[in-house]
Amino acid sequence: MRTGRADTLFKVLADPTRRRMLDLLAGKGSLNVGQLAAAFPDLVASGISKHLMGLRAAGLVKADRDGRQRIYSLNAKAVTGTLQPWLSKYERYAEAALERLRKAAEEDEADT
Amino acid sequence: MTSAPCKVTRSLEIRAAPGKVWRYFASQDGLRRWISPDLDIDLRVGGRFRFLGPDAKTWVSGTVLDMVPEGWLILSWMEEGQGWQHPARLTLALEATGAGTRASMTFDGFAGVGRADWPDLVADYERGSDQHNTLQALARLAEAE
Repeated sequence: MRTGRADTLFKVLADPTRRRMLDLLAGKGSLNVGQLAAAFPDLVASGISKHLMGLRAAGLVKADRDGRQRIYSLNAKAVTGTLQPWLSKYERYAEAALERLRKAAEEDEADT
Repeated sequence: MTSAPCKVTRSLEIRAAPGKVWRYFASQDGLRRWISPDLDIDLRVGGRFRFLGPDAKTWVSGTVLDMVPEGWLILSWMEEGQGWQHPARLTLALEATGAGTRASMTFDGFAGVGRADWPDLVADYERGSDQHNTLQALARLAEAE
């Protein structure tokens, strides 16, 4: 369900370590696990993996194989694929609400 | 259409003066006519509101952040039970035009709803500098593709 995917996305973004990982990837383009780990000296390797799994599950990060290692980068389709469908309910709501407002106000105008 | 990914804006023209249109902002009954029939709102700055939201399943609640007669009504906007840490924001605005009134509805702040540092993010929005907004960065990548 699409709404569910957006909720996952928001929960994943709530974590400061994961946001820093995204910021790093946004800045560098792509990084391997070793390069990511170097930016988080306080985290053990399993912690890095856990965060990367969360980011991949939310569709924010993709992993490409380069020989024996994985190269991580941002997945731009997360926005169009997850966030836009979720936002479209707000677009539809805004259009419908404004139409109701217009109808009510213009009916008043016709009465006076 | 192209728009910022974390902002939704819609507007339309109404053939009535802003003063007439504002009547539908100025009371709970007026707002119920178009926002939602089951809206409960304490219509003053700092007052709370709640109603069954756009999907007719999720309750939305929040606070009146600002209100200027015939100008705008700004509400904080929180979907209940959806893992939001912080609210988004809804701005309802009126502007006089030659033929009547332009009414607009803008949702923003969605990028911050899951985040613990939402106040910083809003400050960034207000300064017009949201370069640290990850979702905006993703969107720029998406648009460049």
